[in-house]
Parts: sequence; structure tokens; C-alpha cells
Amino acid sequence: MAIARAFSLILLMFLAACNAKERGSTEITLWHAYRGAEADALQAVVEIYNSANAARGVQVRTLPVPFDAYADKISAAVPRGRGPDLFLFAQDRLGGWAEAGQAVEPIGFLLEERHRSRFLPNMLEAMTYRGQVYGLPFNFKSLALIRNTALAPEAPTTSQELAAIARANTQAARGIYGLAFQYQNFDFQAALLNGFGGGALDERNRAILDRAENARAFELLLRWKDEDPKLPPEPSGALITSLFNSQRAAFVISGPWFFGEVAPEIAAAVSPLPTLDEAGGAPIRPWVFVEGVFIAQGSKNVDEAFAFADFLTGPDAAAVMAAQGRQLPANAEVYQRREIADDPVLAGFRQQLDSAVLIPNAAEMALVWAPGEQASRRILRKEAGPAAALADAQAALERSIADLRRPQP
Amino acid sequence: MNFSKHWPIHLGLIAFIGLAMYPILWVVALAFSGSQDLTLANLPADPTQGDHLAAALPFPERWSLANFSGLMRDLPFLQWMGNSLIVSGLTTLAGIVIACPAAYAFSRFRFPGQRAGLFLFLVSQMYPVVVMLAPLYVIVSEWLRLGDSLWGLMLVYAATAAPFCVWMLKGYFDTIPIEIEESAIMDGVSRPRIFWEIVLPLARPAIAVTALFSFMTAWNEFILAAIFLENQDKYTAPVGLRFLVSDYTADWGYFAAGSILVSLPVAALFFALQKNLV
Amino acid sequence: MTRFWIGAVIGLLLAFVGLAAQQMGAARQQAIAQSAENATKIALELASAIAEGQAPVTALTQSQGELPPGFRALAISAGARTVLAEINAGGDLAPPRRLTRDEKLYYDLAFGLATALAINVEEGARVRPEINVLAGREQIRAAAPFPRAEGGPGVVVVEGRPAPPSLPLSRSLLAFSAALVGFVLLGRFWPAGQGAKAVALARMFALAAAILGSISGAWVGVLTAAIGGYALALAIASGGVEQAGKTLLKHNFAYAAVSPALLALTLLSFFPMFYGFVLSLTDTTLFNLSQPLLDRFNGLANYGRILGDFQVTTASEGRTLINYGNFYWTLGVTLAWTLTNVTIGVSLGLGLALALNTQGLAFAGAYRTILLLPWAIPNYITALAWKGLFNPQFGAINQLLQAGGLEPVSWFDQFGTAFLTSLAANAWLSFPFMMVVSLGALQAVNREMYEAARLEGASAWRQFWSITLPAIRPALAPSVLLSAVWTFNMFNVIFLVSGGEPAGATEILITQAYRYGIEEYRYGYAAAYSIVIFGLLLLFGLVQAQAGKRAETAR
Repeated sequence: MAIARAFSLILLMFLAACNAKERGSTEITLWHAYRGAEADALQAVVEIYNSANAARGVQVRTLPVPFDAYADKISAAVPRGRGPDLFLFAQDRLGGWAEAGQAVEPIGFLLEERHRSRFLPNMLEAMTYRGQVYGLPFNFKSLALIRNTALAPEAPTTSQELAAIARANTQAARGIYGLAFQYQNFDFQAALLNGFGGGALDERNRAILDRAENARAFELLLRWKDEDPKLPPEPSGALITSLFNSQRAAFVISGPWFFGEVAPEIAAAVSPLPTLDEAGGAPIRPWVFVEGVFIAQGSKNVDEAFAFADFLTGPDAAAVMAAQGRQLPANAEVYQRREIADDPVLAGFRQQLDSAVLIPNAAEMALVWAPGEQASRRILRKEAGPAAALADAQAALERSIADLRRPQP
Repeated sequence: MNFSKHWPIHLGLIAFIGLAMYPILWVVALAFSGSQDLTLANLPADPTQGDHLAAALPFPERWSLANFSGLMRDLPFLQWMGNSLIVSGLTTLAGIVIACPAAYAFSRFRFPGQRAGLFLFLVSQMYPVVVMLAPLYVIVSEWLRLGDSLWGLMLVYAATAAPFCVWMLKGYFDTIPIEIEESAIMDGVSRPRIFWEIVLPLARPAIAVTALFSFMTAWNEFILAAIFLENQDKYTAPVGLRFLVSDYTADWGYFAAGSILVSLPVAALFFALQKNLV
Repeated sequence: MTRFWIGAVIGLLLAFVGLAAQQMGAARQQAIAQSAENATKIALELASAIAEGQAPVTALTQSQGELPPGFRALAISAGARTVLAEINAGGDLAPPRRLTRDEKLYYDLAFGLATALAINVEEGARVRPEINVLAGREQIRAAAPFPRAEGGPGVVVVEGRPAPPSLPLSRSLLAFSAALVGFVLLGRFWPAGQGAKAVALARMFALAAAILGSISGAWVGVLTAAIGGYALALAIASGGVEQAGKTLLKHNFAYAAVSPALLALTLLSFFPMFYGFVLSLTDTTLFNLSQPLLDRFNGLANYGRILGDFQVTTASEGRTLINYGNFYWTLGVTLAWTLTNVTIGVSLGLGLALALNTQGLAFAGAYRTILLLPWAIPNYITALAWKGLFNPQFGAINQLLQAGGLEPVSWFDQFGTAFLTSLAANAWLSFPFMMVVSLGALQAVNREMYEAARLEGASAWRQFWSITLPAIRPALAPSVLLSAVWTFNMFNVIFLVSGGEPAGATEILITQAYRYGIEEYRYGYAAAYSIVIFGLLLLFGLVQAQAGKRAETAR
């Protein structure tokens, strides 16, 4: 009898052990390249989810990866089925992964109406490649106009207003500038190119660098740089921050990350980039990078992964990401909430979104940078006129696109 | 002391050391500045030459340990240093264990394939590592199933360091007179024993360099570690350091503090081994 | 005689096993392929019927009889997430229903195929297959798209399990016995000389196997097996294996000592190299990764494009501009980079070593320790620290220039100065290593020779050239050679310090390969680039090895 009891006890314990193992068996892994406040906010969201789902035995584990290695790590691990269940990434690599296959799981089938209507305009389009949806938009980043309110109390709405205020605040000889930004970088220049109606790729991802609009955008940039209001030479990110923090730049063009570096004694405000009088009043249109949450193909728990992605892009998680992580959630509802709507920084970048354009998510985009930067270099150093330099860049880009997309049998 | 005797040499060395230490002093000053800026002194709007000189000197405006404590608080940096120590220690061991016998064989024996074999070690250094990421991932993660483990890293690092170690040791073995071994063979001592008891002790300086080199190879490597490891607890220190500088923001103060922490064990190792170096 | 028998029997067995396996595999493959072809045909017919306006139900009903047993057919509207019509595995018509969660694949297939159709229209050519076929051992599935006006893309899916194949052992047996008969007959009647006999036999046997194989249609497997058997028989018969075994035994200590390192190297270095070589012969990009390797093969085209592009400069509006992306420009930069770096590294290292090696120098140990410090700092830290020093506005170097009353320099704005920044960083990084190696080598120099030279009144300079340098050369040479190779491929410093600025001018070959491969998805091209780098270094290594050999024989 005693033996039987002991035996049944052991059996029970065994079953309980099995059961416990069974229950705790679903682990969802999430890779990301966040750090600092944004990583902390993400971790907070994960912990909320984990404690709510502990009873179901679902746990999310995050792995932060250094930014420099992030894309390489995903490209190495995911197609071989050794990736995470979910990963966060901006849309600019999406087309590449979708074309290569076996990297991102299409999720169009899993989307319901509440998902489709959940996000700010254009956000889901960033996650859509050739008709199929691959991810849920999480946060977005774009450039906007940031000003030192002590030097420039009002936000300009046109480029001439901007130039006028900037001019009044510029003493180039003393290293004081009204307007400063990393104008040598192609992604900053793109805001002007897009504003003039040009850009890098058309809607079918063909090169359009040689459009006359782009040349005109560069002419305006040259004028800003050399004549009016004059921009600082060799504008590195560190220089822009330093100028702004030492009251030597009234306006800078930068993104939400810039507020992490603004000195506490500086009063900074953000507003949308002005319209271009030089382009018939069209707005300057910066590129938007949308960070989405993607399900890695080969995930063993697509449903659970999607459930967490659903939570991550919902209003509650978005509120944490915005308030604690200083991120701009793609979720639309969160901007109705009082604490977010009243936050001038978040509201300013949110407003910029209305005139911003998505950076193309096609693989061809990766080829734009090298010719784009070479052309900008030649133009800014006056080695070539905008039209000629852009024509060269166009030819180079067309060549490399043809190489990448060589017709297949 | 015969300091006066060699004064030109001393002068030259001290000048060179000043030059060579300048970047290090900058990293140190940045680490102890308590701020994240690249600049230690704020330049006024119209700087004089004196202001420029002040800005060029590697002294922070105030000294602070804030960067170190902040780094420890934000990241499990000491744990990652521990992982690095494990990987680098194992790599050093493995590097020496596989390189010493190979180098000895290349130095002492004439056998078919000797010249080609030695050349193969050199050849292996010629193919760029950054384009080997994908195949290395397949080998380590898929075939050997050592992806998420420090052993896998150790293996790759040891293989990376082995060619230099073999060449270095072979060169050194060549300079050890063969007569010592020949007399030992006459006395009937076996080859492995000769190698172990006679040759290895004589080759101490070369082994020290080899050990340093293997250690450094493992200690410095970032990209493979970041790609292979799938668990934060297993990250190595260089991976951790890379968290501090990204495309958008760079915490230069933390980075400098981390750099000093990362360099300390190696400096200590150098110090410990330097008697053996020559 | 025994050797002959062993060789022949092993070769034969090998061929037989290969043949049998090949036959079984081929039969199964054939059955699967047959099934898949059938399913594809039905799916295409259904899709085109529906596309031409027939109702899905009607189309499916009409094809009911054609479906193989165990197969089912579905017509799906992906946009509406509905199965419009279905004939299940039992052959019955099922009513319309919603797609279930397990049928996500059909939805994805429909969208994938719709994309393929759209791309083909865009490109005006059939660049993407307009059908998706899975032919597995467990499952066969053919999916064909039909454009649908409402509710997004539609797709017809025909799927089921393939019929198990019958094993055609009989044919293998026939091949085996034929080969056996040939073997016995030949073995009995072939005259003279064992080696010759085995060779001839293996030849005959290979021929027989190949003929039989080609009759049965599975010629690849048979040929492989036959050649394998032939080679093995040949090796054993001629005593090659035994010879190799004897060599191994004779030098057992040497081979045992070398093999662990060589094994690690083979796995972790030579295999990736081989992989890169294969990749370099293809036009692999992101867009065709999933195609079979053979389809991507394009021979030496990548090499032709890299080495055949001589457009180093372009004329634009009367000016001559350099194409920084051109291979020969980058090669020139790389060579200049390597040459200057090695020269600086070796002279600094050797100079310091000589100074430290001075007899009776006070504090030599302390100097040495301090001078080693740059080596103790990881090179990416060094690189970033130097980048900071050269920062045009805050960098200490420009501050020093201004403190001295000079104009600040825009370091990364011009090729020359940008190159200089990387050079400074790398020199700083590499001198301690050369110093240590030189110090080690200097220890071995016999001091008595200097005494003798001094007695003869030779100057210090003269002593250095005629005593020191020849004495340390052998110990120094491998390190110089290796450091040249490392510098040639020094990714970190260039990537982190100048970052190729301005506009790719200071890019070296390795950073260029990285850009093509990792950043621009042109894998085949980047692999060819890497192989070119490898080839150049190999050439350099071979020349050096020859020089070393000459020096050794001269001694």
C-alpha cells in the first residue's frame, strides 16, 4: 500500500514536472538594436507582456545586438532557420529580405481590420512589399526642424522665412550659424530632393537621380551653403550637436535622437521642415524610416510571435515606448492620449510625418548611397555642376541596378 | 646609472613615447571627464591660440568616475569581460597547443608536404575574413552546432591565430641549435620528450609572443562574436563596447571608459609576460 | 596477386553500391517528378479555365476525373480569404468556405504568384516562374495563379502525396552481374604484370558500367561510381596507398604534430575560401539566391568585369575626375597603403628595438612596457580614437595646429589628408608588434661580432647593414610578410577612420568587397573581388617564398 502510494506520488510529481515543462515551454525571442532609454522602454513592455502571459506559459526574451552587426547577424541566421521569432528593423532592408526569400514571414493573412486601421497613415505601406505585408510598424524616425527657442522663438513656415531668421543669426567668421545640418549626407539632402519633386527611385524602383528637380535642389543647397545663410563647413553630427549646445546654431535639421544630446540648459522645440518657395511652396519632405516588428521565417511559434507583435504595436505598449523610450510610435491611437498629445517634441515629429515620404523599401535603395554620395561630393566641392554630377550618378546607379536584377531564366 | 651616457637615445625614446601616448591619454581623459562629448574643454566663440592649446591637451575640465559607474550600471560589462577572459584564455591555450608541435615539425623534419604545408598557413591569412561571415556561420552554427557557445568562438579564433603562431615559432625553433637535440637522441630520449623538456623551455620568448598574439586575436574580435552568440549573457567585451557607438548616437565617454576597462587586462598580461618577451 | 584482388573487389563493390543507390533514387525521383508534372498540368488548366471566365466550381467539377487518387484541388481567392471550390482527396466536391489558419501558405502563394505575374508584365519578359511547384517525398503541390477582379489574387492548388515507387533492383542486379562476368573473364585471361592487369581491368570495368548505366538512363551515378572504383583500383594496384601509408608511418611524429592545426585551418579557412571561389563563378545577387547554383553559373564574367574595367577617370565638363569605384584605382590605393604602412611599421619597430637593445640602457624595461601599450588596445578603439583626434572642429590635432597659429585642416576632405589619417592610425597600431619581433630577433645576434667589427673600425651604420640586418633577416622576414598581408586586408582601420572618405577615394580592396557584398547584395561579384585580393596576395606570397628559397640555398 505504502509502495503504491509512494509510487503514485512520484507519478504525480513526474506529471507535474512534465506539466510545468509543458507550460513554460513557449519562449519567444526578439532581437533588436535598441539601446539606452529605448531599450529600457522595450524591456518594460516585454515585462508587462510576460507577467500577463505567465499563466499561459508564454515568455518573451529579448536579445540586444550592436547596431554595426545587426543586419549581418539577421542575414546570416534567419535564412538558415537559426534566427529569433521576431526582430525589429527599419523598412529599408525589407525589400532585400523579401526578394531573397526565407527571411521574413509574410503576415498579410494574419492581419485583421483592427490591425489595418491601427496605424498612422503610410506606416503599413512601409511594411508592404509588392502587395504582401511583412511586418507590423512599431516606431518611426524622420528629420524635422529643431530650433533653439532663445534664438528663434517662432517656427518658420517657408524656406525664405527660415533663411531670413538664419541669416540674422549667422556670423560665419565667428563660427556662429543660423542653420546647421549634415548637408553632406545624402539622406539629409534627400529631404530637399524629395521636396523639389525629385528623389532617388521612382515608384517602380528605377533610378531618377538625373531629374531636373534634383539639380535644382542641389542648387538651393549650394546657395544655402555658400551665400545665404551660409552653413558650417564639414558638418559632422558631433559639430551640429556642439554648435547647438553652445548656442551657436539657431536651427538644426535632425531627428528624434538629437533630443537625447541637447544640453539641459538649452530650450529646444521641433516643428515640420518649411515649405520651399523655390519649388512653388511644396514642403521639404524628409525620408521616414519605419521600424517594424518582423516574424522571422522559420519561427516555430508564428502565432505566438504574432500575438506579441500585436501587443507591441498596440496603444498600451506604444504609450510606454513614447513616454519612457522617447520614441515615435506608429500606433495612431496613442497620440490621442493626453500625455503624448501634450508632449511638444513627440507632437512636432508627428506633425512632420504628414509631409514626409517613406524611404523606399526596395533592395535597389541600397545601391543609391554610393553614387548619390559621390555626386553630392562633386557638387559641393564644385568639381562638377549639379546636372553633370547627377547624370554620372544616374548612369552608375542604372548600371548597378541592372547588375543586381539581372534577368533570370 | 648611466643615464647620461645614452642621453640621445633617452631623449628620442621619451619624445616618441610622448607622441605614442597622446591618443591613449585622450581616451583616458575622455573616460574620466564624466561627459559624453568628444571635446574636453569648451572653446569660446573667438578662441585664442592659448584656448586652442588648452583644447588640445588631454585634461578634462573636471575629473569624475561617472562614466565608469554609468557603464557598469547600464550594461553587464564585467560579466562580458569575464566571458572575454574565458574565450581569450582558451584561445591562447588552444593556439599554443596546436601551433607548437606543428611549428616544431616544420622546423625540424624534412617530410613530403613540409614546404607546401608551411605555405598553406600563410595562404590562409590571405582571404579576407569579412567576406567569410556566411560560410563561417554555416560551419560553426549549423555543422558544429557551436553557434551560441564560447567554444565555437574559441575554435574560430584559435584557427585565426594559428598561422602566425606557427610561423613565429618555426622561425624561433630554427634558431635553436639542433646539436642539443641530436645529443639527446644519442642518449635515447624520445622525440616527444625532447620537444617537451628541451625545446619548449628554450622557446619561451617566442611562446610568450605567440600567447600574446592569440590572446589579442580573441580579445579584440567583435563581428563574429556578435553574429554567433544568441544570448546576452554570453556576449564578449568588444560586443558590449559596440553598443556604445551606433549610427544615431555615440556615448564617447562610456566608450572611452569601456576601452580602458577592456585594455587593462591586456596591459596586465603584457606586464606579466614582458620578462619572457626577450 | 592479393593486392590485385583487393583493389578489384573494392572498386566493383563501390560501383555496385553507387549504382543501386542511384537506381533507387532515380526511380523515386522519377515517380515524384511524374506526379508533380501531372499536378502542374491540372493546376495550369484549371487556372486558365477560371481566368477565361469559367466559374471555379464548374472548372473543378470538369477536372474531377483527372485528379490522381489521394490528390485534392482547391480554387482560392486570397483577398477574400475564401476557398471558392474544392475537390477533396476523396474526390467529392466541397462547398465554399473560409481559409483556415493552417492554410496561410495558400494566401502567401497567391500573393507571391501575383507578384511574379506583375513583375513579368513590368519587365516584358518571363523573369519569374508563373507557377509554384513543390515536389517532395512527402508532398506534391502545384499552385497556379488566376487574376481575379474582386478580392485580390486567386490561386489554384493541386496537392497530394506521391505514389511510392517500386524498387528496380532487377536492373541494378543486371548491371552488377554483367560487370562481374566481365571482371572474372578479364581477370582470368589478362596476361603478365599485376599493375598493368589491374589498370586494364579497371578500365574495362568502368567501360562496362558506363555502357550499362547509359542504357538504364542513370548515367551520372554509374559514371561517378565507375571512375571512383577505377581510381581506387588503380591506386591500390600501383601501390600508391601503401606508399602513402609508409610515408605517413615514417614521418608519423611530424604528421601528427601538424595535423591538428591543419585540420582547424582546413575547416575554418580553406572551406570558406572554396565556398567563396565557387560563389565567384556565379552571378549570385539577392534576387536569385534561391535558384540552383548551376543556373547562376556565369564563368569568369565577374573577373572580366572587375579586371576589364579600365575607366579609371572620366572627363566631365572639361575636367578629369577619378572614378573611385574603379578596381585599378582601389588597387593602387591598397598597394600604396600596404607599402607605406609596412615601411613605417618596420622602420619604427626596428628603430625602437635597436634603441632599446642598447647595452646597459637604463629603464629599458619600462620604456618597452610603455611602448607596447598601443598594441594592448583593441584596434577598433584605436581607430575610433584617431578618428576623434582628426575631427576637423574638435580634434586635438587641429587644435594643436591652431595653437601654433596655423590654419585647421579638413582632414577627410581630400584624398591625401584622408589617407594620412588612416596611415597614422595604422602606424601607431602596428609599430609595437614589429618592435617586439625585432627585439626578439636582436637577442639572437652574436655580440662578439660587433666587438670584432668595432676593432676593425666599422661605423655603427656599417655594423647595422653588415651584421645586424643579415642576422635578423630570417627571423624578421615571416613577420614582415604576414604584416604585409594583414595590412593589405586591414578592414577596421580604413572602415572606421576614413570610412572611404572622401566619397570612396580611400577605400581599399577589402572595404570595397564588403560594400559590394554586404551592403549592395552583389554576392557573386563581391566573392570574385575577394578572390582577386586573394590571388594578388598569393602571387606576392609565392614570389616571397621563391626569394626565401633562393636566400636559403645561397646560405
